[in-house]
Amino acid sequence: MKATGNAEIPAAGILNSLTGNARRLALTALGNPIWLSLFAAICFFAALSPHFLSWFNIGNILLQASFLGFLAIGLTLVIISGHIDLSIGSLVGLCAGLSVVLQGELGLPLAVLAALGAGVLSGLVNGFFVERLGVNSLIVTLAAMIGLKGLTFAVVGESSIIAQSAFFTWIGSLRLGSIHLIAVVFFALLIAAHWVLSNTRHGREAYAIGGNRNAAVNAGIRVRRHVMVNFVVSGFLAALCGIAIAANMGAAVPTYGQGYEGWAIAAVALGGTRLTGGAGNVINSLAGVLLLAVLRNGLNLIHLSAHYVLVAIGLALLIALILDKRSGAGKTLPAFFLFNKNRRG
Amino acid sequence: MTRDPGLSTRSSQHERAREARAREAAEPSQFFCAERKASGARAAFSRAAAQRSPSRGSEQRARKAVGSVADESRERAQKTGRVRSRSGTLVYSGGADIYVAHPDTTWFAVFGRGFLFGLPVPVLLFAALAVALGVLLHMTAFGRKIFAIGGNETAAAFSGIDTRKTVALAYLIGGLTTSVAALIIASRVMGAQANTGDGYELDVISAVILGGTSFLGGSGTMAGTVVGVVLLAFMQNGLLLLGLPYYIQWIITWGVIISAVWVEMAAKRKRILL
Repeated sequence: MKATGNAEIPAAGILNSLTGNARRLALTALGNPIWLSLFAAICFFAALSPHFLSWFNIGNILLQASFLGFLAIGLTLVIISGHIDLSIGSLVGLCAGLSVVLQGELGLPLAVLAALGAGVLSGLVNGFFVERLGVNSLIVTLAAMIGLKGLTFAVVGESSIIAQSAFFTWIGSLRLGSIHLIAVVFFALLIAAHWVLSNTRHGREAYAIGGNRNAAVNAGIRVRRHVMVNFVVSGFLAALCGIAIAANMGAAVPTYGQGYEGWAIAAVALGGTRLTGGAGNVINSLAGVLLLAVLRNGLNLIHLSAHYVLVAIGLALLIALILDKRSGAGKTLPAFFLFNKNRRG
Repeated sequence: MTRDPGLSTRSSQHERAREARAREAAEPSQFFCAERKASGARAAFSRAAAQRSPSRGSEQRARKAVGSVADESRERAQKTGRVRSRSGTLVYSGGADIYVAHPDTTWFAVFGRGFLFGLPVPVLLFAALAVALGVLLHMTAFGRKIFAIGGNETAAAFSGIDTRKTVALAYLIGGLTTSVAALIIASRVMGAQANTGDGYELDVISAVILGGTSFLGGSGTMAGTVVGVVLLAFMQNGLLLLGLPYYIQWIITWGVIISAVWVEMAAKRKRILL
């Protein structure tokens, strides 16, 4: 059910010396080509640009990655349980707007709480529509994506609003060493999410639901509750992303977060999470997020036109699809390059 | 269409960009409008062939067992397609806006601004395409194959339908109708921006769903899609005429889409809640 890699890896000697969770984690990482791609990309850009591996730039990449990463964590959970959440991009804009606009009226703590509450509420609404009304999650979250965009414009208006609280922007641009506080929070959440997925009943049952929903229902798993929780987590993390962006930029613009759901899906897909559910993990999603961030940053550093950056990322995604085709069929690495004529769509 | 001598831009600096523009005049639809508004017909076709639906639901479980890999990668391809075609658009146009400098020396405006028998040409084009593709969908073997594949792809394949060819043709038709829409928009504004049509796919999907095409594939009508498109257009226009801000229509679209699909699902399962 879980993609924990295979045993025929050359570095088996080192692996055998590891035990328990560390061994499982290493297997997870090595079982997916995304980490190799990430490593290759880092080497490539480090060779081409002297600034790429500076601490300042690494901090930048991690910050860029963590904005996307918040979304990718939540999306991984939702996708593993067999659904999709397209509303996160618009939700980022809404929560960024709420946290900034309400500062003047309610004070900072309440404004942030309101933004987080909006995220949770949106997740609840999505989960309710999906699980109680029985509407396909693609439609539900697509509609929410449109609607939340409208709400964002209603809250923020059509111009940029500057955050009033100095503490808010201070936290948003706080660096611990060269690493942003936001990135630290992201990695903490990532570890928590990985723990939840691999060590708790909720995680186990989420995989089961995505793998075969009917079987999960028959096995007595409370499907609705788990799916609902995943949507709420996704909404909450999107809210957190919105607040982080607003704090980092010190302002809110109604167009924040537009198109982020596409990037997040790309990162999750690159990380090898199966888009129909039942397989994947957040650690590999991290690699997807980092790869996107490294590509964007590195391609800019070597002065490639911003338009080609999109092409490069599209290509990376295409390669991920081919790799996914291979992993879905359970084939060995060289075999997936061969076009299988007998497989019908 | 041949090269248009009247074409130039506000800020022409690079030879490459100029060349690109000239090519664009030759083939206005194919390149810079990859994500242009698809007329309802396009989405109806691909929906009827179940191409946008994640394979969930019981009958699709069966299909999953047989063709899960192909299904999955196709689904992903749709999601990545958005990113890739947008980047293609940006690279092709160099990110710049392109305008027809001397609109009066060309007859290109006829597609978007022309009138025929007192009716706007875009409306006539839409009507003609809707009728032609409606006939194709409902009265030909090809149309029946599309419904069959949407209903149960495995069964369709076993009954001798070349599913890959049919689906590819459905996408081809989608591309064709998209390019017609692109032609109309380019002709209406006599120019093109790289981001024209961003977000139109949402409007189109909403219209098709409103028109009663099943999101899981296998059912739907062209007439319904036309009604959906018209309904959405009237709603957006009406809300603006009421003096409401433009973003209100997005919030209302949210409710309209979900309630439309919910009503359909509830009627099908004869229960209000799942």
